[in-house]
Amino acid sequence: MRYAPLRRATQVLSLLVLLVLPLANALGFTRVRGSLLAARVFGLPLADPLAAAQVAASSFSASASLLVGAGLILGLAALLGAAFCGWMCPYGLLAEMGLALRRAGRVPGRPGRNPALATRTLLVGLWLAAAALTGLPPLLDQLSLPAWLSRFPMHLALFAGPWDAGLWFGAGLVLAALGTDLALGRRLWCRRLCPQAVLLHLARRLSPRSLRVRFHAARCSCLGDSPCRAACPLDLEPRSRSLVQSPCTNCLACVDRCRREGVALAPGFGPGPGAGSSSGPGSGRN
Amino acid sequence: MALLRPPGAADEDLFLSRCLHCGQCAAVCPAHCVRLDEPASLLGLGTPVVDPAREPCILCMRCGPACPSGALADVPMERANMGRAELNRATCTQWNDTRYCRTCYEKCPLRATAIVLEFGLNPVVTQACVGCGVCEHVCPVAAITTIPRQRQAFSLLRRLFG
Repeated sequence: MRYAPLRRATQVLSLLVLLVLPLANALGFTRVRGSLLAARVFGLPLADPLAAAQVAASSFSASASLLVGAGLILGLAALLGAAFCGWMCPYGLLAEMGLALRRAGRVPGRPGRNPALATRTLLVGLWLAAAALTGLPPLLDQLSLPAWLSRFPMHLALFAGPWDAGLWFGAGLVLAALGTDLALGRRLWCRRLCPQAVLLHLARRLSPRSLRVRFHAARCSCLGDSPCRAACPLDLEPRSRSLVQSPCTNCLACVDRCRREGVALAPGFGPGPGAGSSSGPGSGRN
Repeated sequence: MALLRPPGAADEDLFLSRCLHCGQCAAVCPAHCVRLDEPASLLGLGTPVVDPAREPCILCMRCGPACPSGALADVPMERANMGRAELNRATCTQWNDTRYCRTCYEKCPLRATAIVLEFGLNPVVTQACVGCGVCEHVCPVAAITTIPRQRQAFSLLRRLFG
């Protein structure tokens, strides 16, 4: 099956819900409410794991709502990886649409090399330690692009009036990230900077049965650059063993484009049979 | 124009370390008095405040249970602890004998408890006042101001050295 239409539909639906929800709240429907930092859906709490972690570190306390909400999201990430990034994140959708419009085309990353997550994970860990020491507010939330994109409609629907400094900062951040992506021809924020994705990727790494893209080298007949790499919205190399350690969001665009679709590249839970076999032809050796 | 925290808000340093600015308190507020766009401080960007001159809090107490992180506690209206109303007796037409008025007493959500009528005539704010701001909002001559309660602010030194 082709995953691309389903993924695009999920992204657009998520964006529409974000835009419409505050309006529904203003009109009195509050059974679904909140932002991408913390929400309540018909009584079920959902929380961004990094936001919950910061609150727990700063205030040495965690409410039941945060524990359940963050636990649910981490559980989903342990199963599906950072699928939120590729299938629901509103910034991801904007960045993909922006890059599609870029006339000069996308600039591919260096062949065979995927960005790692180690530096980002370390920085987030350092911030959590600093928060525990100082009790500072969850400031990494102010660097969450999906959170800002879910807060703007809230401000427009619930509070009429001029924007305060915080909103201008958020708008500036989103525009700067989009502008940088368009100027570089590659997704900088998602590939290297987004703090929220760190805990999602960590959950995926720590779970042996998480969803990932499996590469069957013996079935790959492409040499050099391939359609799978060109299809990746994050300019990752799907044929490399470092894919599972990279910011791959399981968007499955590479699987869709693999010329022998679903054969050389296929999604699966866990490493699958024959993991660790040597790289086949054309798999990122250049 | 006083800027209060919603009812049940923890002390400022604990409040700031818990508030996720998720907006659920603002979403459930039927009076639309909770705003996220008037920062009380730089570290408080995006955190909820109530401006009684714009829209007073009517103490429906729906925001406390809605808060996912415990920045707002689920308390009864008598323990909302937002601040205290202060009545200017020189401006109040009842006190300065220019016009009979007991609007604040009539509209107070903590009826006959937070505002009482001295000798059945002149309004007096008592210790039971929680500072919701309805009286400030309805006073025809703007004789009432809501003073936010003293909130222990964030201090790095206190956190590090106790």
